[in-house]
Amino acid sequence: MNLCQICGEEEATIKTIDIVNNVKSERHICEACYNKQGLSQPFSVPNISDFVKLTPTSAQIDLQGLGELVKGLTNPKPEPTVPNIVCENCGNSLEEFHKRGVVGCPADYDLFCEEIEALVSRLHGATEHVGKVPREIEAERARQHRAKQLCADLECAINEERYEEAAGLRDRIAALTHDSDSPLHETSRRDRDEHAG
Amino acid sequence: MLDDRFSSGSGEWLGPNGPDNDVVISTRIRLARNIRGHKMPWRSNQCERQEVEAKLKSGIADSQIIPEGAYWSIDDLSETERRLLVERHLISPELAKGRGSRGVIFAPTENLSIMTNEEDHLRIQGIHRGLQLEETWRVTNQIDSVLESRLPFAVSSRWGYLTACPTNVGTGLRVSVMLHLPVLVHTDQIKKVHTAASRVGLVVRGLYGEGTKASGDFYQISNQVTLGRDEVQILRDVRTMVLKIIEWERGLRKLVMQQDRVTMEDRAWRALGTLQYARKMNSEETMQHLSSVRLGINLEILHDLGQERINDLFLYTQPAHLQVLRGAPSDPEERDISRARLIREWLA
Repeated sequence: MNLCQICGEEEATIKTIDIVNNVKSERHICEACYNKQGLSQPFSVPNISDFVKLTPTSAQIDLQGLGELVKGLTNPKPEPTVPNIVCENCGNSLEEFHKRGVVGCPADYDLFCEEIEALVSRLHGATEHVGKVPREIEAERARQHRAKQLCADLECAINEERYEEAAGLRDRIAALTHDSDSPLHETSRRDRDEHAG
Repeated sequence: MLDDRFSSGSGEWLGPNGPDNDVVISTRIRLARNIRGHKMPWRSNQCERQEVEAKLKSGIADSQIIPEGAYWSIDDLSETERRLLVERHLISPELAKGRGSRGVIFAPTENLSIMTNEEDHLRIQGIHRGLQLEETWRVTNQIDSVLESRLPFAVSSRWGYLTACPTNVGTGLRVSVMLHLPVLVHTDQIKKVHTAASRVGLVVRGLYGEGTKASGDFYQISNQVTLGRDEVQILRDVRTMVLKIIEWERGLRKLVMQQDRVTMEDRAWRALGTLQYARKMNSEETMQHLSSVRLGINLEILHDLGQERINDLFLYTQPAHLQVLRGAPSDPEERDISRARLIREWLA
């Protein structure tokens, strides 16, 4: 379960995307915080009762028309806008994945990574495989494991100000990650592409 | 059309003398695998499924893993034949329902079967009599490794083996142990099994796996978790639970025999009498009586009956087997008459 990035207590069910000065930032938050923070109102729009109070004679206002006007702006529970991603390889969409609960091809595991991670975390209580793998993946795993160990050693060396040793460790990590061409804690993109076909 | 081997004898896994066979019928292990670069069967069109099926067939044939096995395309089998293979646990109900470019190859002993284009491209299944988790895993794993050297399986270092449904991702491993639990049911304690299993990430299923109901006091205990635990841990989880359930069932059998022996004797003899003399019997009633007779044999109430005979009857009184043996009585009443006659003859 992803926790709300504001209160840290409730399950995050809404994803907000803010774009300020062409910089995109994402937040995963719960419904209560969404409403509390007034995030449903990106800019200040009075609710309908405020509007009525502000107006000298409410009778002069076409309330129905006003309601329609502000509905889109002040809707307290808008549907979070999740783009409907479609897999180029199999044509399976995120919407269809949600509906059927099955992937259309192996590449969907990368494409719908966030959704699958949330789902398997609930189903299996884990998000990483630890069992049998084919030989080539086993070698890759061993490399990742070694790199992880070296990272820990590097941190230790830096904390203890053993900079010469740290530089050596850094080079060894770079060589390992360069060999595998993959991030340390993630499935490699090369793997993903290969398996997606 | 299937050959006539199915008109006599069950698969080896239903045979006698399996370990812990007073409670455990069989141990089944299934691995789900997919081929890299191809759509999942549900997403593929006929042409794409055909291409995958051809790759799988040639991979299986070249590896010589089931040298005496023939490949059966689902389209070449009648509805009764497909149902018959489901009853023998050689294919899943899902594969039986599908059409076009999917099939199965199985060993003559029926200890091993490989389904193509089911929910996943490949479903490798090993099944052995009694509680044989290690041996069943050894055989199934070996087949998987041989196939892996010939077929490019879809796998990632993070998610493990990539399956159509994320419920199987990771190991792709489903371990199922089929148990006969008549006294846990009789003493109304079967809920205890469900609760205990769910607490450790296991699930209790019916006779034919997912979505099927329990019948004749038979239950399957299976793992649900396939990711984040390796094969050895999963096998250990199932073993621990199954041994606990065996202990409960045996403990209760002992207790009821001490406290209410006559009820158990009455149940076994009454069931045998009904089976020997009834003129009409439906499938559910047959399962119940056979379950009571099986219990009677294990409690040493009934002496002159072999468990093998009863195990065979469990299979041969199923609708498709009955149809293969006795023609095709499509009318349910006719089938019930035919079933009762078969049982009388086999127990005579």
